[in-house]
Order: sequence, then structure tokens, then C-alpha cells
Amino acid sequence: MSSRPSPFWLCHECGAQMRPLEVNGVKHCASCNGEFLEILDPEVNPDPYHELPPAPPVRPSTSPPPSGQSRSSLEEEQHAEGGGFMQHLFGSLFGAAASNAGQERAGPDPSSPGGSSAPRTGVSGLGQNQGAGGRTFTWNFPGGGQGRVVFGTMGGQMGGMGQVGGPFGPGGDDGLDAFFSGFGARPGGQQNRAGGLNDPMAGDDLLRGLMEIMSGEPGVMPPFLTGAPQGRANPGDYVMTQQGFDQILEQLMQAAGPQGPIPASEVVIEGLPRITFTEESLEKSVYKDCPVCKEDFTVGDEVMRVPCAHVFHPDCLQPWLKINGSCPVCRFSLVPEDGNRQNPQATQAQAPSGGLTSVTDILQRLWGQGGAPSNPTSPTTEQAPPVNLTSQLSTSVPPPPAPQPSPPPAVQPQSAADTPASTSEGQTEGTPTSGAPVEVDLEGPMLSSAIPADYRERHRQRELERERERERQTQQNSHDPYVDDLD
Amino acid sequence: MATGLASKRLMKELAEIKSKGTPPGITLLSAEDMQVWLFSIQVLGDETIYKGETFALKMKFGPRYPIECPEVTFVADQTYNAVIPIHPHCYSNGHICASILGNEWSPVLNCVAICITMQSMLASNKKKERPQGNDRYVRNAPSNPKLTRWHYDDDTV
Repeated sequence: MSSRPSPFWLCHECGAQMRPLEVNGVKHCASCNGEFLEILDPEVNPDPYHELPPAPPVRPSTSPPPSGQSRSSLEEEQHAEGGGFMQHLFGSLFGAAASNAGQERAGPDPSSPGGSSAPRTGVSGLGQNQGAGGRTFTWNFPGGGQGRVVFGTMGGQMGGMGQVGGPFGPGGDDGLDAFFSGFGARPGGQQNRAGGLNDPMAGDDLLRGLMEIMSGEPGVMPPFLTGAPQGRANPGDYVMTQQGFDQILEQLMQAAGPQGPIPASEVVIEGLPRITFTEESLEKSVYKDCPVCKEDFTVGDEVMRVPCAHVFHPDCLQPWLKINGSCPVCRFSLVPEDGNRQNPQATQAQAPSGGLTSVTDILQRLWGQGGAPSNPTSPTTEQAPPVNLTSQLSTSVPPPPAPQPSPPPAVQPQSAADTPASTSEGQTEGTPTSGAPVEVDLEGPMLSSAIPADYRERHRQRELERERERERQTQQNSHDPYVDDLD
Repeated sequence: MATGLASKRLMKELAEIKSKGTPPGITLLSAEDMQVWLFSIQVLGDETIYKGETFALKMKFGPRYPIECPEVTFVADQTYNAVIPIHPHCYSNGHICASILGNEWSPVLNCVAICITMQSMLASNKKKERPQGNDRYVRNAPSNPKLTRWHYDDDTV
């Protein structure tokens, strides 16, 4: 797949030119997080009459190497100039690497953060001044500011930097480590950089490497950036360690959308009915042991029952529900569909939906309309709800919520987990997922409703929706064996 | 007391394994304490690409087992001539990307159920290959696979 060079954008809020970050489909300035951005690609420029602002800093083109010269020798040539590494670093980071004649010939630069090379835009206002100790590049920012990059003014240290493999190091196995341990440590060492540019890790490591430099590594921090972007280089904005980096990734992933199990709210847990086994009820019960601790129930045991009619020791069930609000046996969800996924605690205080506020309302929601004489059936959702429940649904229960594109985890009858689950308990108890009506006779009259109609209906909707989603994705990715169906 | 629940439950599982045995192809190699157990898994039959291979599955139980899933990894073990299976869901460090070891864990599952799942995961595989991005993952992976945020995207294998 040929990658189209991703263009640079101009942020009208801070004046930075960058590749924007996309958050929920909205592009944000990579520098100030502003949203007032303009694309700088001349081909896509919406206003061709408006003069494009100056291009990002472009590395001075070294004299084009003889054709056939390998990349590594080109790089060594850059080393010899001193500060070649910094040029490379900076150039790649800002996507201007394409201006390097040798690299342009070699195709798009995969090490630039966007994964593709920057377009060669017209350079205006770029000055270059090669002094004795290094080079200075200046450019104009659209707002009138001026940017300046100075290369190679750090004397020995800079020269040392030019030598280490750094983020472009071979194989990228521990490019970053090599980079920093190599600071000045291998001043004379020559490293083969060939292939380093193709390492997919280079982008990340490169970025981190630059961050670390900008953050002010003592004694190493060059007069690296002056001008507009410098104000953005706040040490607190960058991570220094792998751990910190992972942490940020973690945060980003969490921000991208909650996943994982949702706990049941305290209200729901507290509201689950408790039953004490009598000799008679124990004998009638299909469930002879607790599925969690596998201990046999005995007369006098207090058990908790979830709406799908499975029973557990309270001490076995409650810690689980506080992690994952679903039945351990059949995954019947105790978390309302429209409950706030982001903040499960919210369901304790707020109404799940429809303006229900009090605890009793929530419980009523969960348990149905005060003991409708419904036949407690199995939680298998492929079954249509019994007729009486359907009619009840049409009159007294709000319609199920509209199908949503990403249903939360719920019962997945086809999941691999079900097989072992039913095998593991098939010896002693009825298989609750078999679809046959389960006889539950152990509850008192006030608990006679097993699954309230709206709950069941919502459950069914969820399943249908899940099925539809799966089909759609299968069609979309029919060529792809990896079909998303679990997130 | 959660810790009590863990060891009680494990004792029960152990007793059941000892009295009823394990399913074909699955053997309990060691269960010296209530913290780490080692199972061996073989895929039986002629159809499998893992014919003749033995794998060792290590389970590490926390005090909150079975409310929390054990840490499950494949280990290379010379004593048992076990290697880490080459499978699109098994990383070369032994970490396994399987939903029941993550957010689809349920306390009704047990050690044998995990073994059966792993066995069937291996049995249904047709091509020996490592997951995409194996090297990168292995380089940065935490030692405890439960700390990895898995993305389960394939239910065919």
C-alpha cells in the first residue's frame, strides 16, 4: 500500500506546524491541543489564492551522493559533518526529511512520526548559516515569529552524539538504551546504521529520544530550539522512562474507551434476594453446590440468588459482582444497559434511565413488577420471552434502548468459556445454559419473578445487536481472519 | 476470608483431579503448594499440527482465586521436554492472549477448564506462527500477563 504523505498542518492558535493528533475524529494541534488547524499541503489547500505559510524547517540538502551510494555511507557522511545526527533527528521529527536528496531517492522516510514522508512544500523564509562550530537554520512562523535551530554547537558532546546509533540504531532492539548509554560513551565508535531507518520502533524511540533531550538532560541540552516552539518544551510535559511512557499509553487507552468488566452497583448487590436453605428447599433445588467455591450447599446455608436464578454463597458472589456485574455461571448482566459505563458508581446515586431515582425503583427495574407470576426460565436469550411477559412489556415497561454499536460484554453463548464452564459443573447440577426450563422452587412468594420482562428483552436485544454487529464485521472483513467480535 | 476461599477451592480441585483424573492429554505435573501448579498439555490425535509435542502450562494463583483469574503462562521446561507452543495467540515469552484469562474469566472456571480451553485452542490451530508483533510485545511485556491489556479479536482459533 503506497502511503500518501501526510501533510503538515498549521495551528492558528499557537502557530506551530505539525501533524495533528486525532482525538475522537477531531484533529488537535500536537503542540497546544488547539483545534483551529489548517492543512498545509498545497494540493489540499482549500484556499489556493491564499498564500501558504512558510514550510516547516527543512534540512539543508547535502550534496547529492553518487547514485548507488548506500544509505549507511550517506549517514556516515553526515556524521563527518558533525551534528548530522541532530539534523536527522530534527528533520525526521518534523517530517522534513524528504528534503534530503539521498533519502528522497530512497523513498518515503518510515521513521518520521507520521509513518510517511512529508510533502516537499515550497520553502520560504528559510535561511541557512554555516558557521565554524555548527549551522543555524532560521525560518519564519506565520504569526511573524521566527524559529531558529542551531546544530552542532555543543563541541565534543555534539560530536559524540553524532556517532551513536541512537534511535536509528541497528535493529531497534534497545535503540533508546543504546542511545543514552551511548551519550559520549562511544565517541569514536562507528555504528552501522543501515536498516535502522526501516525499524518500526524508530518513530517511537526517536520521539522519546527527542523529548528527553528537550527536557534538559544536564550538560547535554543544546541551545537547541529558540523561537516560537521553545515555549512548548516544558520538561513536565515529557516522559523520561519506559514506565512513564507505558503509563501514558495506558491513560490514552483508557481515555479511548472503557473496556473490561463493569461492576454491579452496591444497590443491585444489596438488593439480591437471600434465601436460607431448608431441608425441603435444598432437596428441590437444582443447584446443589456453589459454583464459585464448589462446596455443597447444606441445610441452613444462606444463598444469594441472581435474576437468572443461579444461587451462590453471598461471600462467594459479592466479591465477584464488585469486579464484574454478571452471573458467574451464565454471564447474565446485572449492569443496566444504559448504566454509565464510564462511571459505574453513578448508578448507585443516579437513575439508570427514565428518571427512576429511588432504590426501590432500581430494584423494581431489576426484579420486575412486584412478583409477576412468570415462569422462571433459563437465561438463554435465544428464546423468545413468554407471551405474558411480552404483553407486559408492551404496556408497562419502557421500550428497550436503541441498539448501540458497541454493546458491553454480556452473555456470549458461543464463547470458549462456556464449554469448560458447563463441563466443570455438569456432574453435580443441571446445566443452566441448556435452554430447558430450570425449576426453581426455593424462593418465597415475594421472589417469584425470575427475570423481569424488560431485563430479558434488553438482554435479547443486546444479543441480537451483537449478532448483527458480528455479521456486519464478517462481511466487511471477509478477507481477514481476524474478526473483531469481543470488544 | 478470601485467602481461605482460594486454598479451600484449590484443595477441592486437587482432590477432584486425584480422584477423577484429568481429561485425556492433560496431566497435573506438580501442585506442591497452593500457589503454583504446573500442567502438561498435549494435543491428541493425528490431525493436529502439534502432534508429539508437549507443553507446560503454569498457573499462579493469587489469594483472590477464583474471583480473580490465575496467572497462566506456557513455560519451556526441560524436565518435561516442554516448549512454548508456536501459535498465533501464544507469545514467545509464554504469555497467552485468551479472553477467559482476561475479562471473560469467571469464578466457575477452574484449572482443568483452563487446560481444556488451551488444549482446544491449540487443537484448532492450522498454522504454526507467532502473534503479530511478538518481538515487540515480548520486549516490553510485564512479567505478569494479567497486567497486559489484551485485545481479543479472533474467535476462530
